[in-house]
Amino acid sequence: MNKKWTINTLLVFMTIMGMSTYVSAQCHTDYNKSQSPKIANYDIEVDLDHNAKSAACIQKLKWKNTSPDTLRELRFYMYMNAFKDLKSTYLKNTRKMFGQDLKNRTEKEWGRIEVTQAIDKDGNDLTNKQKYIQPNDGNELDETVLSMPLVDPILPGEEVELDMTFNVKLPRTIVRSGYGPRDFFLFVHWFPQVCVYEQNQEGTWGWNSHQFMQGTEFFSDFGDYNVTIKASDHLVIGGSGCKVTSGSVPGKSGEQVVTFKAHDLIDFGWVAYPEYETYTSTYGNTDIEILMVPEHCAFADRYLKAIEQGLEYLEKHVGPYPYPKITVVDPPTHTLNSGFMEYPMMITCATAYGIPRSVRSVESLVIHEFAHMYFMGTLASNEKEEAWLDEGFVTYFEDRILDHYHGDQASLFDVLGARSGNAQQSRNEYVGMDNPNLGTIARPGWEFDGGFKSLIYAKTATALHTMERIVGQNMMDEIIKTYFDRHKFTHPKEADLRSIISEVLEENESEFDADKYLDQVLHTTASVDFKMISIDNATGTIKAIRDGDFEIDTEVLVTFSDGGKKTIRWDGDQKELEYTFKAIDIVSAYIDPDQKIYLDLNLNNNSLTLDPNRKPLYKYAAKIGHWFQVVSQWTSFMM
Amino acid sequence: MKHWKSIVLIYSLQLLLGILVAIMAFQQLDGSIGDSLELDRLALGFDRSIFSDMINRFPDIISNIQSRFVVSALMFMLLSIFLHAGLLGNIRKREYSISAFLRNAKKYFLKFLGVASISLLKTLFILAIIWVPFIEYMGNPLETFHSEKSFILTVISLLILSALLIIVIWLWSILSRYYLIDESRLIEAMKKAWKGLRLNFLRYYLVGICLLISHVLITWLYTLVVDDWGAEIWYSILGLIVIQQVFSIIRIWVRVFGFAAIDNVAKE
Ligand SMILES: [Zn+2]
Repeated sequence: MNKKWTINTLLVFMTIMGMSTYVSAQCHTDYNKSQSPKIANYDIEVDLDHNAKSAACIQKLKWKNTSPDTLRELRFYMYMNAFKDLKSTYLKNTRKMFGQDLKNRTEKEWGRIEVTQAIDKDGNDLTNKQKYIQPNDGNELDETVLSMPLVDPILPGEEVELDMTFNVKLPRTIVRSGYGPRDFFLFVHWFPQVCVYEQNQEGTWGWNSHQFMQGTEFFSDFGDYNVTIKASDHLVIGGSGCKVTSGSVPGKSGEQVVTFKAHDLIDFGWVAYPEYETYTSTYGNTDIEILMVPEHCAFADRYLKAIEQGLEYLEKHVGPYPYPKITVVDPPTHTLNSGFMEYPMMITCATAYGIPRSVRSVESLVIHEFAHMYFMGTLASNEKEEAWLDEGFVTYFEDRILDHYHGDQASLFDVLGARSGNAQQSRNEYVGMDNPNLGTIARPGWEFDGGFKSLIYAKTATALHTMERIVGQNMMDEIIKTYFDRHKFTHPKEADLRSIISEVLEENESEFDADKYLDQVLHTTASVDFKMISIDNATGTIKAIRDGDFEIDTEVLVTFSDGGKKTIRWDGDQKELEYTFKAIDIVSAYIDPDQKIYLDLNLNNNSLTLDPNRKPLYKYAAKIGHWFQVVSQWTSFMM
Repeated sequence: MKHWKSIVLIYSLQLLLGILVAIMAFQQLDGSIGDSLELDRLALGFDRSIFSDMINRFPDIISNIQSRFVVSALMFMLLSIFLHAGLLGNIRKREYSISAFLRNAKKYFLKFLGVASISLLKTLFILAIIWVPFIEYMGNPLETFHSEKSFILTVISLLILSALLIIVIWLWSILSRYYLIDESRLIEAMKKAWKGLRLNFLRYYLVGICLLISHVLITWLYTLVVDDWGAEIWYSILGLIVIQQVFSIIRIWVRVFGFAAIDNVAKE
């Protein structure tokens, strides 16, 4: 562990002084630069006009056809057009977002992107025939997917090169991408990005090119990025990848040029804000850069510690972090809706002045977004169609990491005797739903009408905790390590994960029926609530039922008055359990006494005792009674 | 403390209402998780899942306890006018017995009701003057304020300002009551109270500030001491209750001490 903790003022100083010297690389250079198939590669030159909130860009695209098909068209995500007006598919049913009224926006506050030129190797300009298409909903007013017919088809295995120019104008931030007050800019989903030509579940090849819709995020090919940004030198700039050069522009005062290089990413995002203070550190082989809003600087060490814990834990339990660097962006409060998000090698977090150390929502968020570097960034499953493969695993690891470092009863908050673990919070987000049977997990994001986060994040995580408690953490780790190692940089699907699970369980001779379990978790809305109904000592009989259609094996621990214990099995396909003992001195009966089935909607009714321990009830009654005394003392003062 | 009988009386009535709230809470908790083995887990310390599962299943628990809590608190507020009449009467007249307390309480209750109502109205007026323009002006705080630091500091400053102004009203309210006991005409007493307060403002204000700070400190100290007291054995429950009640008595004692201090300044 090698920690350096410096405020990096050198860069700012040099640009202010107008020195045309270039400072050297920010990342170490000895890392593996060819881990992915490198299908989509981008060299982008950006000229940012911070007053107009727009950028004129030149993009050299190199794209490889890895399919067996001859392609006559390229398709691009043009997601900035989702923020063009209220007619886009993303916004057409939305009038308010993050409490912001979208109806009364001025023209200047909307965003857009347009490709103005796309020249192939023979000099043909392909923009002549380009047109927006709407594969999902046919909404002709949506311009988030661009089809560009080719003059020369791309043969299987061939690489195409296009010299493109495009203009991008940021919206005043609606969600994530956009500009905020005092020259804050977040450029994400900001360049014409090639969609994915892939083989679908049925085996046919085709474009996977979804329009930008709520509940959908990333799906794109891996490649290398070389991004050069020319901008006013009052801005502090950070982004995905490594800053390889940065300095002022010779002969031009007040301007700076920053170049980023990144290998094997599925996307590239960057941020600019004059007020950022930069903190850098190194943990193992990973450089950490944190861009902090000055008034949040007290949180820099909390961000750093969280990243270090995330790195340590994920490297141990999932696999080595595949990139040389991570950039952590702290969004200014005036544009907080730019936060809470992951981009390859860059995450945006959120905090607020005065959050005490005992409230770890800050750490929880940092660790969540960082865990995305593994699942969204490196495995890079299709988040539009199978979001749970990313968010579910990320939430599961957020729980594990927080609970590991801060204790499973108080890792999320611990205030005035009330506390919660992170996994407890995730579980409650699921079991506390008005209707936990609202819908299935394994379906595309746009099919959700409510319950997206509770099901995709919380229920998946809770189901993974349940599975871990059943098969043991070691086997769970072996599954995830194998899955990560074998499928990194390949966009795995549910079937890929499940075949790894079967393989590892089989190798370890586990009896756990993962297929039945995952079918129920992912493809049905079934829930489970075990209930102990009665203990009848006249006949020595216990009765229990399972509410909900989720079938899962469990056991019941019965305790007798002489201290003797007996465990009986309860098969998953039985909805009811009735068991009669010879002894008639049963004291208690406890279904699933180790609480392995964390998905159980109510753990309190799993047990019944004839000799309850009422002490805590007296304690909490006394506490509530005393708080009455406190409150009535305060409120009666003026009387 | 010569007024210990008054302290015990006020404390007992407050405790009685507190017990009613506690009994309600016990019944609600017992009815929902009273025969579960999860109680063993809860005995070791707060467990979020036990509480959230309970509330998910029995959402009425919170509102039931809350309504008993609020009704009892309102009752004690009304009762406090009566208790303050007895207490301030005893302090002003240098009387110490329970019978004098009850006699004074009966005698001054109605007049004190008037003072208390006017004080409440004045308090609401002050709060409205400070907070309504702020909320109107604030709009979306994230956009209006340069940063959340300035927002939070503004809110804290306004809270402190509110407290500082309410202390003035409170001092006036208590002084009015002392003068009412002296001369029994409401308007006169209230006027005289303003005059008296102005004449010796700093000393009165010091009493008010000390009383406020001591209450904040006592509450903070309490949370520090008991934070999450376990419930493994009966003695720990007993210990918790004893500590809670010691804190409650101290609070009431501090209040009576404050009233006596105001009386002292007024007598000089
Ligand atoms: Zn996420």
